[in-house]
Amino acid sequence: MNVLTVDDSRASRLVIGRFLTDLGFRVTEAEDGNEGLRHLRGGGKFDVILVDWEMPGMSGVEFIRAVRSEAATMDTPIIMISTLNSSDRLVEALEAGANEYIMKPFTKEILSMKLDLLGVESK
Amino acid sequence: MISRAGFEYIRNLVAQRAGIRFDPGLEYLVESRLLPLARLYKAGSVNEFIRMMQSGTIRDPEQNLIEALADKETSFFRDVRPFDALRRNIFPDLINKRANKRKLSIWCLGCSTGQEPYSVALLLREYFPDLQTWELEILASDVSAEALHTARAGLYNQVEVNRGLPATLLVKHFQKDGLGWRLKEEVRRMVQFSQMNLFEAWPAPRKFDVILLRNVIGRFVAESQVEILRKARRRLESDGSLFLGTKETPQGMNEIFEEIKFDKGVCYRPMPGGEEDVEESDEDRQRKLRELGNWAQLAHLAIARVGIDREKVGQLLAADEELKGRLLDSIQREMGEKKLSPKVAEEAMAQARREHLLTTAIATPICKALNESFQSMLSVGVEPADLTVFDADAQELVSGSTKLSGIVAGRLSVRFRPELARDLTVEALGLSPDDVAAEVVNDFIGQVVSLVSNLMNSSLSTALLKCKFESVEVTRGKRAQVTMTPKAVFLPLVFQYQSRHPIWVDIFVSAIE
Repeated sequence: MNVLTVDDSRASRLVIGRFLTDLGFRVTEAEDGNEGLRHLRGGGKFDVILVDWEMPGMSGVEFIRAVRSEAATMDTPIIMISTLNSSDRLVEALEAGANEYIMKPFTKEILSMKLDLLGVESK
Repeated sequence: MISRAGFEYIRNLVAQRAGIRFDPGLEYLVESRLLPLARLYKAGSVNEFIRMMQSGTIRDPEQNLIEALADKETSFFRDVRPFDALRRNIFPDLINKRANKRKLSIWCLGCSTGQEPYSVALLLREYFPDLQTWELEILASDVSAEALHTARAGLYNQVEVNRGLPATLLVKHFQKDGLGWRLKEEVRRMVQFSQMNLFEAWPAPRKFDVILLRNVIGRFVAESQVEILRKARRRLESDGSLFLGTKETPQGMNEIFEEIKFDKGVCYRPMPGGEEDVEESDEDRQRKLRELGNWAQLAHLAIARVGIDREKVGQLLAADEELKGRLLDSIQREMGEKKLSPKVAEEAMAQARREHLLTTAIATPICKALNESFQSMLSVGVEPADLTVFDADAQELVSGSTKLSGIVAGRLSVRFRPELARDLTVEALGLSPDDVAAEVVNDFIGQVVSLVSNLMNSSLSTALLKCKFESVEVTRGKRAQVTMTPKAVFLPLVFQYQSRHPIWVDIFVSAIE
């Protein structure tokens, strides 16, 4: 199973990458939304995408809208990961096309549970 | 670090009192869970706390101990698969089968802080909206009063809502409340919580369509596991489903349940037939007798046939073993059609004796006093026939004393007359039916406690009078819950109130020494 993680924070990418590797996923990292889109448009096949909300340039929500607008990735499961935890923000992300939302801080177990909810199983 | 002797002491104590198992190697778990309790009792360490328990410096720490050691681990939609099976297979199937009854009942045992029963409620609300016109009952029980307090509040922190709860359900059914998220009332009120120790007596027998007993049974010693499974089986409809934790495969399971496999996960159905082979506990035998309904009449018929004076049945049986044998034979004959075992027949005889003695000693005066009390208030009638007291040790009565000694349990079942139900609205007082029902229930309990206390010996009276009811909630058409002081003298108290039907108040009174 392949995962694309889009996060401008190197530390976050490291932690999320470690969690995913432990859970048995292959991880591709992107530093921002544009790099993430390049991976997708370049023929990368991903079973799930994890994206941070607050990134310079393209925000996580904008990234999700872009992903959803393309036929190839219209249905790819997306999890938004963010420190923003108001109900309005969650609704905004879900309306943009996120399938799930993880509020930071989170654990490997929480990530695993969210992937289970989306029916994305490792290995 | 907890001492080996201390760990053994705690381990044996909780195994004996609550059937909970802590295998060697779990010292760290016991220590970490006891630490807050040690602090509560102002002990310098867990070992000192254990020494204080052993020396009797701490009185009655057991409920607190069991509570502290209870496993509270849970999450929304834990393991996902059982909930998939409920959604895709179990509930659609039940909805077809129960289309005439339009009633579904689900019992979640070991519900901890409520995430599991609420997951069921959310699932039903989300995927089966038509069921809102059905009578839906989701009961949830746990041994820990503290966990149940959280469950009833329905307030969860961010980590808890992150764990397994789909974000779509979070935004739809929860509201931000401070740093946490509170489940909306319309979902909260779908679930009725009650305190219950699986190791002790279970509430009245009735059948459920689905029982969730997930990640609970592994905590118990092997013998208790089998007993719990049997009790669960007897409370499951023949086409009902039992769910265990994903990795739980208790010994003896295959003899009681058959496994039903789904695309994802498994559940269990009661094994057809063979129920009579299941050894029943005393409590279950007595329930069976009560379920039979007219066992007392049969027993009385047998008494008449043997020619014993009913007024003196207690004294006669106590003095005459031969007579006891004849009566037993007679009862067995009378009950032969029902294929009851000799053990059950013997119990029927004992019950017949007690019933007579206790009706005379307790039921009649209680009825009289209750009627006098309630007729002046709300014209609620209590008929002696509606009132049964059981499980009492009538030895003292047999020997002629007017006080009962060693009574440990009793049940008073009172049926309020349906034609008087409208009085409960009492519009003039500006109270809702629920308010008034709560008042009635509360007052009724007070009356019963006081009356029963007067009839018991002094130590039990004291124990009973210690009981204080903190709150009574009565929900229309649902079960009502009574929360009590931490040192509960009564075990579980369940009231059922249905506004369009006669009001039943079932009280299970069980005093702890």
